[in-house]
Amino acid sequence: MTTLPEPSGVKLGLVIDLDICVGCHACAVACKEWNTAAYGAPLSDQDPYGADPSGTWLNRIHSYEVTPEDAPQNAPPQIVHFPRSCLHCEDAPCVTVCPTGASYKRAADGIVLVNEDACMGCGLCAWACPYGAREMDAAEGVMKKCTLCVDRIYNENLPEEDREPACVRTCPANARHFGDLGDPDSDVSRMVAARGGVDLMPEQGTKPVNKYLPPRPKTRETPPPARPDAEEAPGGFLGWVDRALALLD
Amino acid sequence: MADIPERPPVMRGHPGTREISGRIASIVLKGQMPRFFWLAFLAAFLLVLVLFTTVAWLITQGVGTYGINIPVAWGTMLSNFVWWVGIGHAGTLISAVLLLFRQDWRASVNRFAEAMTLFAVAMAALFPILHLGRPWFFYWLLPLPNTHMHWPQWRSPLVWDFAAIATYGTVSLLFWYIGLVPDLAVLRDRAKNRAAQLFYGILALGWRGSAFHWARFDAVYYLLAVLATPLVVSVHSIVSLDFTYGMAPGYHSTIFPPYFVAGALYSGFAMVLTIAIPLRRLFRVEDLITKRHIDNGAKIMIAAGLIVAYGYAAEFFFAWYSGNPAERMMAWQRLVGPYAPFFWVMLACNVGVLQLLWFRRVRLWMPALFVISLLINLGMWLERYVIVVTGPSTGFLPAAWGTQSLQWVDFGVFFGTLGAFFALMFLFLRILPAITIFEVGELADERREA
Repeated sequence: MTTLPEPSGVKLGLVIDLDICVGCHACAVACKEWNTAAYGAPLSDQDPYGADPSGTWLNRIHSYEVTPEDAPQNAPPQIVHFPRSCLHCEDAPCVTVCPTGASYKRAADGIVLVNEDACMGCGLCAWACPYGAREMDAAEGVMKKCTLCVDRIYNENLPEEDREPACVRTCPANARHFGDLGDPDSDVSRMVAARGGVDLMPEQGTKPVNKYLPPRPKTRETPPPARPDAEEAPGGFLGWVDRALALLD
Repeated sequence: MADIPERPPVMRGHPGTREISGRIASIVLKGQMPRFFWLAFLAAFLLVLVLFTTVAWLITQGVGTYGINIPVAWGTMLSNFVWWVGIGHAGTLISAVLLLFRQDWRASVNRFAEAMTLFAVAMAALFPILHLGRPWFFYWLLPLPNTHMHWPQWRSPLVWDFAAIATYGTVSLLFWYIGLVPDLAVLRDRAKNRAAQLFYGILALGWRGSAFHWARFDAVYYLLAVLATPLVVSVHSIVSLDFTYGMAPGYHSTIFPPYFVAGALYSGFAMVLTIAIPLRRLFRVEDLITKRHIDNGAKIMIAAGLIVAYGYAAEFFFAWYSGNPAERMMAWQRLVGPYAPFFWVMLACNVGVLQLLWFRRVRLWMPALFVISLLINLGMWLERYVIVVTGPSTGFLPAAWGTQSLQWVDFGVFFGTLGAFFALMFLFLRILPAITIFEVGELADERREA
């Protein structure tokens, strides 16, 4: 029977900095590439070159134009890119509703996984997950989800620096971080404490392990002053070229 | 429009037991089916072929062929399931609950209503299997020791569903069959050819109608009625828990069990009338299934329909009263979102059309009541569809929104099961007595004595 394990001290998870994320989708692509050949392989696509392609993606990025509630009047909106994947909740409803025990949470590190061999593809976990983090692989007929790259992070065949989730390893903006959120002295825990990291929809009571670092407040009440030298005529060789070209007009 | 009698009787005229058994048995034994009976059966059978084709396509191509789209993980498969289970409830109410309350008007309608229950549950049972990504592993829901080391997890609502439907199907089958035994003996005794005598004789289990047999029969029949009665409430309550366990706006609500049970009775009685109105006309049994039965069915629909309407109002009220933006968004989306046409047609059928039943003339005017029953059947299917899809499609997290779209597989499976249901009903009408011979006979005797 699938039950949630007693919480151990270790809570592996991600910290995603919404202030830094530029929405490049590199994490989603890296995730797809790694997992297509790894734990949840294959991640199928349907009609990939057609008019209405769809497929199994364990990490999806959504972009929003947001105006914070406390922003001054007429403040311009800011863009927030929101990566969405499994949050490896401590009280994971997807685990407790699974009729066959295919969905489970590891006691040792808190990672939520699906044993695809035991999955019937009933979809109840997708129904139970308030974050929409479950993906039905339409070709395999089973549920798939972020594995936190369990086959990378413990893989001793990989160099030490590669033993982190593919999305974290590839993020060009360094917006994604991986670590033990159960250890208050870990880098990720200190980052969460320093930046006021938040749970996604804590009111759902799922106690997600992954944390989001909120965008820093933008102060755009008045536009930044122009550089004092901006109006000065350029000097030197480039200034001479500029003036010479202006004569040709 | 028909003349309206003061209060239609439960049985017209004063037929004797022998006359009743002869009339009902001859429908089966002589096989003189009404005109177009076999044509209608052929149409239903063609839909069965559509069902086979669609299911074959669904299993070979995968669940992506019907319009599910995570987070709308269950589309029409769940709405069909809930609708069919609901249809069955009226049969159990008529056969078990009204028996315990000694309502004599149930006697003429309980047999085909029980058959309706049985076939509806059989159709419903297909959907939890068909919606699986890997339907060939449905047996993992059974508590069977197996080499895969799978054991159903009793914390999962899907396992409760499976247990509820299996219990309901088993009790309904036993109740139906036990009630049939005395009538099967009548058919055995009246059959002229050897094959029919053997067929009905084997099914009659050696029934001789002795006082001992009747005493045993009453004990078992009432015991099964007592077992079936809580199922009227429990089965659809359990089905509704699928929703209440889901963390989607509109689902996580305590109103669901009573709301679903009332909806089940509403749609179930609509289907009873959909079958009873043509049945009494085509088989010329208007004196046995009288307007009293039809009127009572319509009155139950008014009661159940008003509870359902209250459920709609409560859903909107609590969406507003909760102050939760996601709940309010879900409610708003029902009114103006992509599923709004379904919602408004549902409201028109289930609440608007229902109001016509307040008028006694309408309740006793068979063509109008037949159309109303069909519309309520449609409305109740739409209700289930709207509930299933609107919650997850605009969930708590806007990033996880998605819509379900109806594909040909959705229609193929639904109309296929409708065809299978009616094909089974036609076979039942041809092979077994659709009206309980012994109970109607007892009723006739009581009336003659009175």
